[in-house]
Amino acid sequence: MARQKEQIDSRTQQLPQSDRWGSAPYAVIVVDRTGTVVDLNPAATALLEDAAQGGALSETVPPWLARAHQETTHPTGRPLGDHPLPAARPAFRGRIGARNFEAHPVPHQDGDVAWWLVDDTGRLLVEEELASERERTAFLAEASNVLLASLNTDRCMQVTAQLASQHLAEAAVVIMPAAGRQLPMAYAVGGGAAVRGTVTADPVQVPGLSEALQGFPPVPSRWIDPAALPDWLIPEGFTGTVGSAAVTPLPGHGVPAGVLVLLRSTGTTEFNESEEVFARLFAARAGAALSAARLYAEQSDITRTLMRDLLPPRLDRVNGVEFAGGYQPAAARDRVGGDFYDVHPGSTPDDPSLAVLGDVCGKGLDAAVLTGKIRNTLQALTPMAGDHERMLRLLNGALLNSHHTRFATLVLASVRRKENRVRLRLTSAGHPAPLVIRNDGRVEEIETRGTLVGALPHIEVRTVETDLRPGETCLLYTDGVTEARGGPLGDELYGEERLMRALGECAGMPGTAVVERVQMLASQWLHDGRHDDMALVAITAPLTTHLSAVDGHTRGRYTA
Amino acid sequence: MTEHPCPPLTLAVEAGPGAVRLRLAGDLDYDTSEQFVERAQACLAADHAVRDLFLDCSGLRLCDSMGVASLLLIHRGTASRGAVLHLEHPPPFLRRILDVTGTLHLFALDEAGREAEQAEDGPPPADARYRAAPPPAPSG
Repeated sequence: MARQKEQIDSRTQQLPQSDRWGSAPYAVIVVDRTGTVVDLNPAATALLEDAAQGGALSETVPPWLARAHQETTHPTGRPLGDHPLPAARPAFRGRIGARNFEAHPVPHQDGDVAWWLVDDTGRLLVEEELASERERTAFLAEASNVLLASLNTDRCMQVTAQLASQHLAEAAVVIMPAAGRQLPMAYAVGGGAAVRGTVTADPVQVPGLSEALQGFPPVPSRWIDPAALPDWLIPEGFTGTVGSAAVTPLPGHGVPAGVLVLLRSTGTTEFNESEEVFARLFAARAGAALSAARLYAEQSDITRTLMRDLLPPRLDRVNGVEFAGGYQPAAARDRVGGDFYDVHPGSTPDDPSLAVLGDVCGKGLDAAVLTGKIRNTLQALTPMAGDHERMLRLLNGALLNSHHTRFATLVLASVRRKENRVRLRLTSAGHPAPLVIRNDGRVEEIETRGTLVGALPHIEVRTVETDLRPGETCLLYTDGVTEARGGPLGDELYGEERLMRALGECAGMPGTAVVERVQMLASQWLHDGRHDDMALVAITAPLTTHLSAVDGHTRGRYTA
Repeated sequence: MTEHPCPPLTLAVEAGPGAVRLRLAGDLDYDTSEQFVERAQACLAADHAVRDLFLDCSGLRLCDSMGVASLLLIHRGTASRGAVLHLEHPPPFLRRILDVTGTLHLFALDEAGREAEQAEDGPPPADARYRAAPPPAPSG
């Protein structure tokens, strides 16, 4: 560019002074080495109001340009003498009035310097815009990373407020849709750590807030009167008064995830349109993260509630009978499986307790819901536990559904202590028969049979009674035990015979030990650890053995 | 249930006058039972003259509780129109799960099933009804 100007310069050398620069597209001002303006073109006259031929440069131009002339003509602090100046020199930059200029010095033979003043305001603006655009893109990418790293709603709110207060405004407030009369909020000022809180307030107090909470498009910030904002919206630590505010919805999946309120103090610029658009881009990311976190939170709440109600209870001694339970769900993610058991204690020690163990067809939420229904129904039917068949018929009727044939198989055991024996009434409804471990090591399969419940209009069941002598155990189990697949060949079922043999070695063991032993054997049998639900209930007649005294001095005692 | 990824259940249909035969091969479980029910119901819907639905189970490798539920659902369909649901060549595990769940009597069993039943321990449920079977003939 400098060379091009030199060419222009040499071509115009012969013209009369005043005409030389007239047609130049830029402002040109020629200054001699003493700092006196020698010549200037109309463009320069228009730009520099005080400039005139013969005037002093320092009184005509801003100080940066006067200094530039001084540096150009006296590079070492003293005049250059007759030595020609180097042809190409770096340009100087500065403002003249409201605009930015590049000043290119072009030295002449006679020691004068022609200053070409090129307006580069537009280019600077574009560069600034590009830089800020890059910054915003980087910020949005960072925001997404940080926001999506958490599925915790509180954390998401805090991160959103903190990022927004750092990059978009002086202070930011995230407000979630009301839970009752409370508005959950997170505040942050100047990129500092966000504070969680709730406020009991009507969103109508903030212009545009209740609309944004319902998912309507944002109100332009110029419509919001900062003076009308309620005090609860202004974070602690926000100094000064609010000069401008922007209310932006955080869009969620269908329903709004919340609202982002941006605040600036009176000293700073108001929100312009591009900033509001940018705030919406940020809000879209924050909203997606927040609603994902909320969905997850709701999901895990539901699962927790279901699990609390559906997980099998811990079993203990009831009315003089030992109960032990064991439950291994198929996989951790299906904590609520299709197997279940319950023990409903008799209202008095003489009334039988009812133990139920069952297996619901299917898995996941469907199975969990059906399991819950069966357990609730059976609990309601405990007063008629004296007649298992009737109880199961009523249950069957309650479960019948014209759309599907999802069924359950179960075993009912009415259990009553009679002196030192335990009297059992057992009924299987389509379930593997209960096994009784006798004290001599025999394992009996109880011959009760019946139809599954929940799929057929009519069911048939057969109830069988038996007694347990002290130390004997009746085991109810689900087919997850016998259908454990594995063994030395890897693909063999554990099977009923192996189970019965294993139980034969458990004669005289307490119920808890029997349950643990069977669980251990089935787990060892499994080839790859994958199995169906396994549930076990052991009903044991307590041993009435004489216990020797612990310290040798006190009397021994009999267990109940 | 098996340690290798389950290949899908394959279903082959042979339609004859008044009867349809479905050949099942593979696993009848949680993942495949819906497909099986849809196919069987489509067979029944396609021809209102069908009085016998035969399920050839010789290729069946596994049947879990969802498989039993699907058999019960198909039985509901055949029973409501007075048709008979036949199980042909039921493998021992299928007979066993139907026996334990008290549902074996719903199905008409062919001679191979009767043969397998006699080989197993335990008496059949008192109310089970079987088709009059011809003298056992070696099959397969």
